[in-house]
Amino acid sequence: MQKLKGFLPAIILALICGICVFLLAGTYSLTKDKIAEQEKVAAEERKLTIFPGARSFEALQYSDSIREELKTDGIDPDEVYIAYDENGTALGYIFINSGFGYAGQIVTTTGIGADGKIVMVIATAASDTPKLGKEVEGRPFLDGFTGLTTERDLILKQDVAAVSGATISSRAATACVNRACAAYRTFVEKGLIV
Amino acid sequence: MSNTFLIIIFSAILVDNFVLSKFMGICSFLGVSKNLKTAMGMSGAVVCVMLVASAITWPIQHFLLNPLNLGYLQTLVFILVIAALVQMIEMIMKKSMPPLHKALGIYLPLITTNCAVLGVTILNINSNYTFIESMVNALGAGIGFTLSLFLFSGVRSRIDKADVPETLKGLPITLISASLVAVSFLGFKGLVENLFGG
Amino acid sequence: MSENKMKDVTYRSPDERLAEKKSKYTPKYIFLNGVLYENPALRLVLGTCPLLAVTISAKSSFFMGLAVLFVLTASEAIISLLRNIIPNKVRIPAFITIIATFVTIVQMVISAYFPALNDSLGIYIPLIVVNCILLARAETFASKQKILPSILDGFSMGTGFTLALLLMGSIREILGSGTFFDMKVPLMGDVFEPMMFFMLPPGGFFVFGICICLVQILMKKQEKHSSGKGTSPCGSSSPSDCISCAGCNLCKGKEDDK
Repeated sequence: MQKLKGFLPAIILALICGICVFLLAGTYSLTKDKIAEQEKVAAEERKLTIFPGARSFEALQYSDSIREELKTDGIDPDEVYIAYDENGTALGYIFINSGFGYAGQIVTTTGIGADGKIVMVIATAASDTPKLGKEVEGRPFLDGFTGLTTERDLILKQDVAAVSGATISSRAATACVNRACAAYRTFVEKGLIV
Repeated sequence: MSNTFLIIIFSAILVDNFVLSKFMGICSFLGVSKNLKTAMGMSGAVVCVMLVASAITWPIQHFLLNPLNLGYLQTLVFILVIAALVQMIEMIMKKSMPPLHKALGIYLPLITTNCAVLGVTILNINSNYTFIESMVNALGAGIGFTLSLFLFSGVRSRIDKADVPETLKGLPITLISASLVAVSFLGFKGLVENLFGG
Repeated sequence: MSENKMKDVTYRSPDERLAEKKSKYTPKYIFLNGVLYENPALRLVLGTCPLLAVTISAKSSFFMGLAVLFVLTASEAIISLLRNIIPNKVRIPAFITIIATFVTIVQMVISAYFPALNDSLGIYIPLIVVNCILLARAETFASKQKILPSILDGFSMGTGFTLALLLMGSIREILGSGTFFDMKVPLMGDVFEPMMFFMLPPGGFFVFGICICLVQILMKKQEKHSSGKGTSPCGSSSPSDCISCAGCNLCKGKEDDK
């Protein structure tokens, strides 16, 4: 009996932990879908901002061997979509890439038009400190990409002006866009994109 | 690769100093910076706990929580790990390193609620750092904490001697001088950019 | 070592407890205590981390305050409910567990329904766990009082914290970016150029220092008016706050006051 008493605090603590975990699991299962949906909505919005005329976006299908090849070249994009208008003609392509910026991950959504020129780039930078490392999300910097060619790698401070005071993040974002362009070139070469 | 480490460590110490720019660990920053000795004792304890906590929480997140899809338990698990860790470090120190325990012992229990420790472990995960990068980040954060405490204890010893207006005495003047120290750290903002940004 | 110390500080005999309850904790007192006399942010100087970090805009300050308000009220309610079940030995870990649970719930709800808010508050949401206010109130109030006073205490402390955050956030947003809740403030921008300084970290320290100073002046005036009403700056029973929360200024402030 005495022995049991010594363990009582530990048992109660374990019990409290157990109940808490149970509660959290419950909340998680309730909010999980909503969180995923929010992310999806945000991604969808980004795509629509780039191609406002598009009616549907379809993920581009490509074989594993091409994926492997892209991976070895270091240009494997996270996601690739084709934007269609209501007649079913392709307006352009969307590449989502991520890279490492100054304060954390940077994700770029690059829209490339049917003419092979960059339509628009949207960047989202993960940052845990409000306003820090978010400079690359600004339009003045990203608008610098619009209309540029995808035929060669873009060079920061030559083709695009860097955000002053945020060169590291600007470089990371440019690298992401370059990887999107390189992937686009590969797809064109393979005939997956016309 | 080593460039990444340098960027991480320089930003953690100077540019995004945990205390002066991320405001983590302000409680202990204001509480123990009254004299240099206690400030150094606290910093030593914080550096220890930060390093060990990062070394433990990173594998927990990547080998336990993520595979089991339990990412949402992160905050709960991390804070409990830190609390247990602090207790354990205290016991080990007491047994095997009495002089060190004498120096740091009284600060250890206070560290559980120091947001800098929980902050650095969560940041390591959120920033997608590898294990080594996490350790470098923790080290940088610890050094940054020490540096700001060290500098500020000097400032405070001057304030004690200064003739401060009655209404500003105590906390207000301490915070305003902390603001000035933070201004001086703003000067480092371009440092990392210019050293590694090219 | 510290374990024993804490026990001494927090232990009170049932009679003492009863007397304390009857004499002091009327609902009105609890509410005013939380919002004014012992305002957690401006009087006790607890929870400075979010106070300085998220107050770059009134909006993010307000929602941060609400998050803390919810966690504080909920955790105080539960802790008070379990106060006779939780053994003294494992008190602190149990409190931390309960607080962390509510913080995580808030975090999940925010990222599910207010993703933009999640973006602007970032890491400071999980860091509510180590906000000294929570442990301090759990330790000094909820673990000794009945459930209703505890809920009221959590609510009023949370309100006090929210108001302090809102005050700092408004000052910094108006002076720093010339807006208030994202709306343009007249004169700012045309006559006065917004001062970047207030948006930067040093501005946080500065505004906080000035706010505390102003509150001190106000309180001193009030104390002169109604001296001996039990509104001393550090309030009732506080040494344990210092133990549970990293020597947060509570006692230091006391020393400084003298």
